[in-house]
Amino acid sequence: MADSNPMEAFLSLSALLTGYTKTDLLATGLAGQYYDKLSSIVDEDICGALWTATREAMKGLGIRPKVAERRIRKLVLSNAMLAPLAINIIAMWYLSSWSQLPQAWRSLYGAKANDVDHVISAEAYQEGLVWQAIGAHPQGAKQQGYGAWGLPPPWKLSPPWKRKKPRLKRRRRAA
Amino acid sequence: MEGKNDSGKTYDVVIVGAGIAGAILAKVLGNAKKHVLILEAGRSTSFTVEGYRSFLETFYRASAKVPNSPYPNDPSAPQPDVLNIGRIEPGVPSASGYFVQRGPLPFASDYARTRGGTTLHWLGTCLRMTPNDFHMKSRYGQGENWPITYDELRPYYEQAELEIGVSADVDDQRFHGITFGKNYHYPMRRIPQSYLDHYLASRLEDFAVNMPGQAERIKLHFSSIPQGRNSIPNAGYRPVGHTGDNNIGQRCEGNSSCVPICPVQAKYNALKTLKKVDPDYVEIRSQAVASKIEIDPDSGRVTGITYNTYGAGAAPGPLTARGKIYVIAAHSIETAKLLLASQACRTSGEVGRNLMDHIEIIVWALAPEGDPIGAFRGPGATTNINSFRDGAFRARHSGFNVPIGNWGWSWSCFSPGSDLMDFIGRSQPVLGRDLRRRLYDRVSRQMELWFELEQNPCATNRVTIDPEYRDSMGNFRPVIHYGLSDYVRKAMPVARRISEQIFRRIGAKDYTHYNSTDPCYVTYRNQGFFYRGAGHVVGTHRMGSNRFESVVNDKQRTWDHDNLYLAGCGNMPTLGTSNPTLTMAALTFWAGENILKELNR
Amino acid sequence: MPAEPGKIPAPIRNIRELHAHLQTALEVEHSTIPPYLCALYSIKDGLNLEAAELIRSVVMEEMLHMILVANVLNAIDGKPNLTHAKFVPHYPAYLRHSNRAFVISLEKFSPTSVDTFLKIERPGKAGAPVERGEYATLGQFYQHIKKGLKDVCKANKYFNGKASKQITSEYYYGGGGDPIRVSNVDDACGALDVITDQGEGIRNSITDGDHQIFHQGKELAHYFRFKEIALGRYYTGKDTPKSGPTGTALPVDWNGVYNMRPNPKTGYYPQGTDLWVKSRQFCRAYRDLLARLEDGMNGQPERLIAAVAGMYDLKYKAVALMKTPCDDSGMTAGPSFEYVPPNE
Repeated sequence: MADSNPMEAFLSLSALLTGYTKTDLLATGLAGQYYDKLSSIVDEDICGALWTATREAMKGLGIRPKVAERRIRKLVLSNAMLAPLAINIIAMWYLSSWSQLPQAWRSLYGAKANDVDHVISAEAYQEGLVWQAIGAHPQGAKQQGYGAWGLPPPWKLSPPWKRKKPRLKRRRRAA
Repeated sequence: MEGKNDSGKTYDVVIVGAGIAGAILAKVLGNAKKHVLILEAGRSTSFTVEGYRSFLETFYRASAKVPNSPYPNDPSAPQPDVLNIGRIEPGVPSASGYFVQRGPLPFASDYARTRGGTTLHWLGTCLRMTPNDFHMKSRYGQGENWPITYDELRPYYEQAELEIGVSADVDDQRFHGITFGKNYHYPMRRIPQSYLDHYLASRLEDFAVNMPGQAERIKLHFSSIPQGRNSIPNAGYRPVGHTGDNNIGQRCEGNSSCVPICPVQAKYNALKTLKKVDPDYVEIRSQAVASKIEIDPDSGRVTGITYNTYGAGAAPGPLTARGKIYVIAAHSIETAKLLLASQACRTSGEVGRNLMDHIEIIVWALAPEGDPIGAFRGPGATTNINSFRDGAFRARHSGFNVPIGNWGWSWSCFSPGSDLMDFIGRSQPVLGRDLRRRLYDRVSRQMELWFELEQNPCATNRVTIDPEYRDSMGNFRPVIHYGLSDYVRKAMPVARRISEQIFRRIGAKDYTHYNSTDPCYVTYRNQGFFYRGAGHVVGTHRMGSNRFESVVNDKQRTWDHDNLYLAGCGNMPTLGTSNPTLTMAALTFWAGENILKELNR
Repeated sequence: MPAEPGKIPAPIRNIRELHAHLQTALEVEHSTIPPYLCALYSIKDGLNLEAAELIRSVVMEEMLHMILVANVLNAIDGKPNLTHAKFVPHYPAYLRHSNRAFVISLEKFSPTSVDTFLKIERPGKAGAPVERGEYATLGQFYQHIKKGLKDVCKANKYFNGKASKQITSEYYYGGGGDPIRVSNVDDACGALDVITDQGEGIRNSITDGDHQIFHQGKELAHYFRFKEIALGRYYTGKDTPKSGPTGTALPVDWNGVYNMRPNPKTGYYPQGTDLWVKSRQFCRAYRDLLARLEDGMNGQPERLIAAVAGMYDLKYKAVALMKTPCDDSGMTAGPSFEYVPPNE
């Protein structure tokens, strides 16, 4: 993570916290909205500290997720200023909504007017990761088709977290 | 104050309310070339593709996706919202919402005031009542008898099922004495049952439960739910899709949000009937809030409906619509309110009384580990356990229908949001792939059963009006007095005993827990429960066989006013164990026939 | 392809050749669906509602066409095959019946892709003969099959397919008319006429004849629906092919679209990377969908329920790819519709 681009750091942290890959997160089309939401409510220097901690946790090429998670727990989740932000980032991705930061945090680090509970956008609701995670679809969107509810649940046999990733093979990149 | 006659026109029939009852009447009467005016308090937003889509967007953005969340509240025609249900302290009404709740317990249902009415967010269940439901008093010594029988209503059930477009298989629905005409079939085939339904039915085949106070065990009987949503049509029937684009919504597409909003309108709503009315004969006036039924003191006949308009183009003062016959079809609570405000139908003293709803006792559990049942997919419920809808026990306590909920623990616990918050709100939050795994493991095994207890009629459960409580237009807000009788409470532990046996039998872990801080927390013999409202609001202007005990006669005409009819669930003297809309629709077809006879006389 | 370049297509002489032609028709009808779907899915949710609805209506009718062809093929005891390795064209590709005048690509909704759609649906001149080997229009191809049907199946010979294999409106819905149950030469020709009428229109008219056959509202032939998008204006009931559209404006926002890289391929991404996996997952989902459709067309209509579920799932997978940047170029990934063997 030599990259100093805060959006990159946001995505790396989000991937680690949510258990979805950066590609999964990008495929929702909402990374920008969530990043902007965070930046509009939390001061720049605090966000900066969050990105610094993230880069620190990701240091070293190809670190194992478990190691990165341990570091995040230490550097972010044990930090009173940063932990509530991490929790809110998870809630944004999963529930498409912003939750008001804890009162203690607000009195220490500032309370913005838009730091209130709200759904981030209609588009975000339809991409909430919680629906993917539970093997369903957002209620009222991304319908599954007539009779699909009678079919077995999607991961009765092989849930995605158990599936082995195909081995990385070097292949000539097509033009 | 009586207003100007709006157009100088005298209609054959003036109807208050553009919900399902008003829509059915308008269609029947308009087809018979009668001139009809509907006054609808709410807006007509739902009637255009863009307007309906705006409801969906509002729903997406709503933090709490409660039944009325897609439908904006208008202060000129306010509507109740379940978010306003609060604990009622003795002597202090809870009045933060539209209702003024005097308790002792909160009335827990809502309705929508907009074109199409509450069918915009009904679940769509279309059960017929059982024959015994019509004779509760003579059969079980409880409640009231209806002045009509199942057999008399049966042809009108068929009309209602055709209008709504019900999907069901007759062979699944013959129980508790319910019969069908020879060769009768529903318009469409049964809606496929959910994976969870099959899971439970196959594991509980031939299972009989002990029912407290009952000598013999009762066998569980599962049946597919007749539903007002599109499925594969039977010969000769064409499904009615989205009112803005009939190609959409030709089948239920599994949006899993019948309540609060079906995005494709595969589920029936009254807009579908309103689109079919003959526009040459039927006029629908929106944003027209009826405030008073004008009555000639000498003849007792209704002479007009006074109403106020609001929004762009609103008239400066009250207007009065005139007709030969009048029908109030404004929802049980609104109709009662309007009758009270107009001092109409006073002979019996029953107006506003006997307010009833199904009392939902929800139980919830997790299927055994490694058995995801695929929660949060499909219509809200596709199978009922119907064993407890009728039986000798109804002499002692409520009967109940038991739908199997397809949407996890959403009603009982606000899943899946609450599950996520539980996992990440801990001092050591669950993160990453572990979070995904645990969410799936918990939520995909969630199941709820809804024990829907029939409330018995009680004179003290009532809607009243109070000059102190008015809305922004000066109309009365409903003041509600409400409680649960022992007849209902007695059934609560019974429901729990039954659900415990079911969960034990299938190896599901019971997580049911009723928090005593819930505003709808009640006890029976020291055992606590919370209840939810079903939106099955009946009884407030009941029909009966004499003018001293009821508001309307068997023809749905008021005893006190020759040219005033009432339509809607308020006409039902008892609730029974079925969702009331289908029965109400059947009664409305019957009312339409009676009105036509009178007009043609 | 039955007709080789440079030769006038030989008449269809026997039932085997008739089956082969109908199988080709199935493939031709299918081959336009992935390009139409790419354009449709690339439109961002809530934008270009009018154009999206027009494209969706065309896709629904293309699916109806597949069902109609399958019904004809099943009526004469053929066996629709949707799963062989060459069923899905390798895009960019020529339209399979065509005289190779143009190439069709998997592209986002754009003036270029709409222009291609116009070429695909271009109506034939009345009575134009088949020229120099291949068919200039779909209509010519179906004329050829119809003639073959009448020649080979005299007195309804060979019409002994199982009635249970006919797909009817029980399982097909959502626009585009009703499937026709085929049990004789007349039904078969009627079914094939619906295909050409919906695509190219009734001679010298902009409508597709649906209102005559299915008692529906007047619908435009595909060509004229795409013309409306291209010209940004609706046709009125009085318009003719010559007059062009004179109705209200049809707003088109060419920017309200995901910037999908044309003709996406799984091979663009290193094997095993997230994008490679997602692209492959899409192809597998498409393979499974075709397999269910094939089952549905071969006597297991209940499998069509799973096929419909598969269609929805496919859309969500495609849109997810279209929201994902494929590199730093500002373009996004997309559905590649590549063949995946059955056992993968």
